[in-house]
Amino acid sequence: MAQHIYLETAEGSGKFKYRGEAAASDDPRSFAKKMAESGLRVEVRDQFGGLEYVKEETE
Amino acid sequence: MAGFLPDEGETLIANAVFKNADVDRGTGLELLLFTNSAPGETITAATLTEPTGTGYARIQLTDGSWSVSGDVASYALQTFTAGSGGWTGSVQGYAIVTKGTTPRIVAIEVDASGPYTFAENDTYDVTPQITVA
Repeated sequence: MAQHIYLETAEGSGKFKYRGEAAASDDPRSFAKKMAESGLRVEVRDQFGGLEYVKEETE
Repeated sequence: MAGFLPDEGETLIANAVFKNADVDRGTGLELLLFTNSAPGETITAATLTEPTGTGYARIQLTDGSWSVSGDVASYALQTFTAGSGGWTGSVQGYAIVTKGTTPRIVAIEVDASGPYTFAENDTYDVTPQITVA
């Protein structure tokens, strides 16, 4: 199944940009972990969801 | 930018510091742009993918031109410029690799504002500033 990678553009912004489809040399889980160390969230989708989107946060 | 040191860079540093073995370090470093979408800890210099097209080439970084203050290593601004026809591939960030027997990644920085595509004369500036932590 395809893995489509989205990365938050700035810490806490809630804005995610499409990075592309994961290839064999990619490691989305580890990528998410390393980006989290910089305060950035990664979302992996099994379907393309547009070039960017804003994630509405709910309390 | 969101940067990290992948596993192979950690191994290189451990070998250099504890074993004084620098066969994979070589002289000088190379600055490159990468197109991998989700590089993780196991990314290697061999599996990095780069844009292709006129004008794209790795930039050579001279050992003596780095400055180190505390735990931060800095290098002067470097500029990549796309040539005729632009480049193929979306640039996701930059990496610095060694030039020894088996090149290793010593720093990889993901550009959270990217990825970027390059038409002729588009430029991408990099001012390497690596925190060793």
